[in-house]
Amino acid sequence: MPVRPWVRRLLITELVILALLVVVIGWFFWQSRLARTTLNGMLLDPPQDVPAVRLLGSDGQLHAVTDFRGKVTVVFFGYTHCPDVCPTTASTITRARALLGDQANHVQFVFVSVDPERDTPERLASYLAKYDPSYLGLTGDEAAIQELATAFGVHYAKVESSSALGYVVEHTASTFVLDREGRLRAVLPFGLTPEQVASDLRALLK
Amino acid sequence: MVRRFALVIVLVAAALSIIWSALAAPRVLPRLRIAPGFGLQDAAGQTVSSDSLRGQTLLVTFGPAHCDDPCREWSQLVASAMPERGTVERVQLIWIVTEPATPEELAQLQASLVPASVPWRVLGSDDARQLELVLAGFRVPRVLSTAGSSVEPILIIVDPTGIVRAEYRVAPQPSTLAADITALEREIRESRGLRRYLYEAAHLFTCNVGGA
Repeated sequence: MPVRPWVRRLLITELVILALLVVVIGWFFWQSRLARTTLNGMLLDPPQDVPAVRLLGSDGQLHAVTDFRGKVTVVFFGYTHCPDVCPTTASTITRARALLGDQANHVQFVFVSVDPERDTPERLASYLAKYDPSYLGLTGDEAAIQELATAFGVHYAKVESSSALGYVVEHTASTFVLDREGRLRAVLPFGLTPEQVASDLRALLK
Repeated sequence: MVRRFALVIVLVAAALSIIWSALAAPRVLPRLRIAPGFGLQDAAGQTVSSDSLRGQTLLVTFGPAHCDDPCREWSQLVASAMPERGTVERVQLIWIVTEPATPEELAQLQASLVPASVPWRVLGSDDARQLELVLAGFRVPRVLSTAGSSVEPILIIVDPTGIVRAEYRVAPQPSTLAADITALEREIRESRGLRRYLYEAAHLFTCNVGGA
């Protein structure tokens, strides 16, 4: 039985529309994948500029967290007398980097001290060397640290303590990831597993 | 003939379902940037940090310690824009004082602001530098005049993870503010499992000019 011309036209139109929709939706999800929307942390899109505040590094040189363009930079605000959150985060990042294999060379960990009074460059160097000698500590001027911390949404405050530590420093526990252009790209909440962190870093390295 | 007709119906149904899916995509507020970290005092002299406010949606606005006419007018506009009590959950209405102030001054200001459906929480500091960093972090617009610098009205929504999600340079309509807060609450509630991909995809197509 011959197909009526209007049915044929309708069919062709439908197929064209359907094909276009499939292409659009396919592009939509492909872009979603490209945009690394499956992070365990929070993606900032577009990425956010951060101030290039220069601080004294554990290597004795002046550095800003934005100095490591070409690498993905993982930034954490903590202090060497920190009893819990900082060692846990440093261990998590170390294990995540181990999971990255060769790609770990493209990830720089920067530990910004929120306790510059006690955290000298030497102390930071010795503290971070326990995790990985490539890790960089930053310390120095309190006002500069406060400016950098505020820009990252980090709050910290000294709290007197009766413990042997003398005082503790309350601080935001999130970890921040800068992309290869030195812009803030993701915020990782405290408590992610090394596998989750490695997965996010892998995505951000693409 | 019947088979071809059935095919046409199936194709039309498929096309309609795809169009419906696109139209039914969730509405999201863009992730503009990270809100600045802070540790300010409230009217009772207690320290309130950005960390202690995590987990709640914040409506943040700014003004002087001594409320003049424009300040009262702005607090009236914000109060009238607030959705009715019970329509939004876990929302805090924050007023950050833009000049160094004592807790007593904060308490006086808190009492003088036009009451809203959510109580005002006035925060401030006697540390001028910290205030400067907080205002810069929130990108509060300033006006310079011979009398000095003052801030322009702005209302900011900060989500429970500390990300700025909306800014209003003029007081929004109550329905607009309620719709924005509801969209944010829905995203927080529903953005899990497979639906997370839908929300993240929606973010891709949300106009975002404030992040860089």
